[in-house]
Amino acid sequence: MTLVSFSMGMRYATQATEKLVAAGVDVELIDLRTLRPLDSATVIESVKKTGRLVTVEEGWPQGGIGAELAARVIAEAFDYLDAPPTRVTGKDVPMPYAANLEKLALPNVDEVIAAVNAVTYRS
Amino acid sequence: MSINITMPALSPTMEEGKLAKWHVKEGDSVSSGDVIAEIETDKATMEVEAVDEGKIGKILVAEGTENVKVNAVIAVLLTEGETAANAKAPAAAPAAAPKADAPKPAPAAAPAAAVASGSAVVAPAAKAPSPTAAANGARVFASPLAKRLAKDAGIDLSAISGTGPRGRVVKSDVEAAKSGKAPLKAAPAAAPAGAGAAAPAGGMSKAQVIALYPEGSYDLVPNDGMRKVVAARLTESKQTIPHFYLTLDCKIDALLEAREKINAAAPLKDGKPTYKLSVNDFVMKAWAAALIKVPTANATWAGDSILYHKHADVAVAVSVPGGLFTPVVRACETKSLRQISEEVKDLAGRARSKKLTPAEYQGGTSSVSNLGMFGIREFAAVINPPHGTILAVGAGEERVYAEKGQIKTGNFMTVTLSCDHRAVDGALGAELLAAFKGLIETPVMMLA
Repeated sequence: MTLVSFSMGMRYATQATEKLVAAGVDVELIDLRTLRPLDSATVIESVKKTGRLVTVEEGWPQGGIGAELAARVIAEAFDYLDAPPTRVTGKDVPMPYAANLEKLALPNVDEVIAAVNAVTYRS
Repeated sequence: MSINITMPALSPTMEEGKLAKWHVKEGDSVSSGDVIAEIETDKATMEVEAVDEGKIGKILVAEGTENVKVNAVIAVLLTEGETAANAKAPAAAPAAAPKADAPKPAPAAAPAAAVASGSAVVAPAAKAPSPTAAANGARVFASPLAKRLAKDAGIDLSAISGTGPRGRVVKSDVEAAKSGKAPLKAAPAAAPAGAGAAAPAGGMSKAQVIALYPEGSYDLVPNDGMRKVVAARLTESKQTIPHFYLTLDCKIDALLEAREKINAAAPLKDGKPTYKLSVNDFVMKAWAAALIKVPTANATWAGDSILYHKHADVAVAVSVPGGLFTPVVRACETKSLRQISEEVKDLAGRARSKKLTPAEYQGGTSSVSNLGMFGIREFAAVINPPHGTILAVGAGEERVYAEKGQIKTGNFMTVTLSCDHRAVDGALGAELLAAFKGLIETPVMMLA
């Protein structure tokens, strides 16, 4: 499957990838490095191979980079998708000040793994 | 403003029906009260009348479409000054149901046939309308990738069982089907007619049954609505109702004599008697009177309670080509023999021409089934839910019997009562049947 992230999201993505590969999932991890220009060609090429997209970012879900990537993949690689593109993002709440709540508001490795399992139809 | 014509509910319990016939075509003008279509339910055929006047703009459900949901839009009526362009299928949800059903007869034939023959591969989607529609019109959910792979491989998606969420067909399902690893779904669309409500639990599948007989040694007749209902209702009855049977011989000499006298006294009209009572009319009358005499046996099981009916609504089994009806004579105990006779004749006649309204064959508290005219001596009938009892009447015949050490002959009729043991216990059933015997052997008692 194709796992796309950038910036801080790469931490969760990298750690999740290590665990997923150990579990036998074939992961293509893409670090976008720049958001504008957005290297959508690489992502689409990868999705054409894997048929599955999971994006990871710390920002909010609505109008985020994951949403943009999903839109582009659906537009250009629709016939290659075997599962709905899925985002792992920060929660749709104002960022809390309390450290424990801040941690809960951000994505984590387990969420990434759960999303990957969902799009690969592993339960 | 165009008006949507929806599928009417012909009875309170009706959920879907068959659109048997259109009496109008697109562009026809109708005024309120005109018959525009015929709807066929399990048992009856009813006419649909236009409520408003206008022009038929669009017919959305083709003639002969089965299982049209109640309240689904079947046509659009244009009022004055509108054109057909206004009559686009309403975007509202109800339209989806009939539309999905509509393409069934013709275009789906190809995939259906292929599935039926058990072959996995349809010739590369030659004229199949869309690989995503199952032969029964239901949408097959598949990921875009699975759709593309199936199309490339020429596999009918509806023949693959999906393993993804909500049964979605995904890439691995298509690949498994391609390599022949996964079994294809057992021809779900092979018998769309049989896929209805009636497939009784258990039993052998159609394919299993067919495999037992050499091909060509039989005619395959798909079950119509009535047959499906008969199968479903009677299977339900025998599986869920604990039946028990009570049999009695009734001496009917007095009854035959009374019948002869009454019939002989019938005033003539155009040289023909105005009425002719049958033995069955007496049986109906006596049975209704017996049910009123033993009110605790005039009962219907209703889950956590029992209904004790105040009237004896006696259904009479009428055999019609391809099945049977049980129209109900309401409050039978209050009616005279002549009234019963006329009503049964009317109901039976209309049953044969399938013109009964559902209200006329639903409900009832007990039934009478008479096979005497075929010379059947006795038989045990299956209770017609929700009834609590059914009386099976055999032929009247002359028999030898003993009385006070003397051998005599007389006319006898054997009746068998089937009871729902949940509502009518053995002794109670016996009491009811004894009351019937008293009335039928001494018909004068019906007046008491």
